[in-house]
Amino acid sequence: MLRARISSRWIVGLVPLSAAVVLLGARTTKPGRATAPSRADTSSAQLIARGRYQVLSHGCGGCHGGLDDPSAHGWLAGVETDDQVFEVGACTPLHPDTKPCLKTYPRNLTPDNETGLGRFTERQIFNALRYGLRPEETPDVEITSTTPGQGNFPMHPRYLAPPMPWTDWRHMDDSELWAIAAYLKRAVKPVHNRVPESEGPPDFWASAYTKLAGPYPAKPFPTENERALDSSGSDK
Amino acid sequence: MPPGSTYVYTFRIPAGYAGTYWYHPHPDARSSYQVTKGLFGAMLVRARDDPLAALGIPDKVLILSDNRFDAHGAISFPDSESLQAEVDLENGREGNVLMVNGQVMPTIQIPPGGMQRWRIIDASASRVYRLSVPGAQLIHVGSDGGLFAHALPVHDVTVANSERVEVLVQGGSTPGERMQLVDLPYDRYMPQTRPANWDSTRSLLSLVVSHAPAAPPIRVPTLLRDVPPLDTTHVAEHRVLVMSQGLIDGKKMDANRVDLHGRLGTTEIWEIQNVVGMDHPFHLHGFRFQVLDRDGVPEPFPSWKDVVNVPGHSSVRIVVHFDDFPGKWMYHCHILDHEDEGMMGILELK
Repeated sequence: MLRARISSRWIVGLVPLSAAVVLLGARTTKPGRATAPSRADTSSAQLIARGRYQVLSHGCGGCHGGLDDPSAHGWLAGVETDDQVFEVGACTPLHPDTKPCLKTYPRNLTPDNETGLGRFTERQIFNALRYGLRPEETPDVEITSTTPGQGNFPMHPRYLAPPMPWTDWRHMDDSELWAIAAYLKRAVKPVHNRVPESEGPPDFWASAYTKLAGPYPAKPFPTENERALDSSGSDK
Repeated sequence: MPPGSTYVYTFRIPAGYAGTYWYHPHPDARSSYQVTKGLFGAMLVRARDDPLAALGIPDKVLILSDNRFDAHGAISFPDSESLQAEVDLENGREGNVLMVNGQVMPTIQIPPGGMQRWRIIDASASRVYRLSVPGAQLIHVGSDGGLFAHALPVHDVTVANSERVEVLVQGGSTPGERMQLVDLPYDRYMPQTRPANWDSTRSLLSLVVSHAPAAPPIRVPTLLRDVPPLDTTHVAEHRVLVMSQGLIDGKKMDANRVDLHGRLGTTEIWEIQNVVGMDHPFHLHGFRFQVLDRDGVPEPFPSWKDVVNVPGHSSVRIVVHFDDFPGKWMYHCHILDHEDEGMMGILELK
């Protein structure tokens, strides 16, 4: 089943929070200023269409509901059945008797007020995708640093639960993340579905993500693992 | 107040405000610390025509608090960089020692067949209590702002931070019989920071039937007092307030900012939404209010409140009438550590 395949892929990557999951960037990097696209950049319809394309092509529905079909029941409405729940850590089926085994629940991404994203701003959703910060714990402010306590980056960051791959998706352009936020807030119908809170370490994954931090933004091309092209565009 | 200084508060208590109140300091970012150090107390406003006092039912004030102590018995606070400090920030600081009126497991005597009125105050920084007296009859008769209209027999009663409840307790009939006031499990937590022993039942005090002469039977009156519902036909403002973790409406407290503007003499309905997975008790300064509904379920009867607990991912609607008292008033989460973090806003009335 598709969901099982996705689950095992991410869980293998997360046990035991190995470097397979690229984690929060070097503290010294300075991300670009994140501001909402102006109306001149794109029309609202184009913005929504881009957001929908990003949501579909990044498989959001694979975990958050509806798989790849926006017309499916439960599209982005969060966990509705047990087979949508993730088990993170050393637990079944690989190590049934070991601890900890943490259950995480893909949340309701529809704009329902009490159970979804309805009360979070597009900027809070942007900050969640770019910095992995839980929107409910992070003020509606522009963040200009990844150093705790600086540039509105929280002193005690609370991160989204695995396997949400924000560490990968934060590398998307600002405009793409804003488009996703716009699609989720403006173009999806609210579904009232109360998803259980995800389990996790008491620091909300902060120590895990801090230890395994990769640089953000990514180091400039080419790194030692990459080959530069010569001026003609061919391999050296 | 500066150290060593004196300040005299003078205030008028309007008619109909008889009830159980309490006081504590409210300094910027230091409320939890100062309350933990013991700066709080009870304040009772008694009605001249209190129907329970008229029956000779004795009052007991029970202030519930909890604290954490080191090996030397000193009040202990975690290092600010420790994980415990982060857990305290999330849950609010909880202590492992539970006290009633500053004592661990005190004993209350009750004559055979006797009845007592307990005025219970949750002065803990964050602990929510679910109170029961197994083996005894518990009758819920009042809330933050005094008596209900009608008494309500209950198995247990929940009291969140800063809330008050009034209950009648009917003890046993056999001298020497012992019962306990217990705190039943109540899950108000995020899973990440839920204490491992959250689901244990804890004893708070012993209730012992004395060898005194048996008390005459008491019939609790069917009508305690009149609690008319606030008029909701003329509402000046319907507001939505959103509580998330440490934030109200996505913002932290700013003493130089007014978040809500209201007019004296008007009635407002506030829908308070909690959009996170743990409970937040909402408190409004200066005014009592009535709960209209919780998650759309109408409140069974009106009562006077100044704190209402809003469980995770739910909403509560309250109605408040701003009858007097112009100026700036705070509203905040009454988990003191959340309040200290800025989970607070300012209402200005003109």
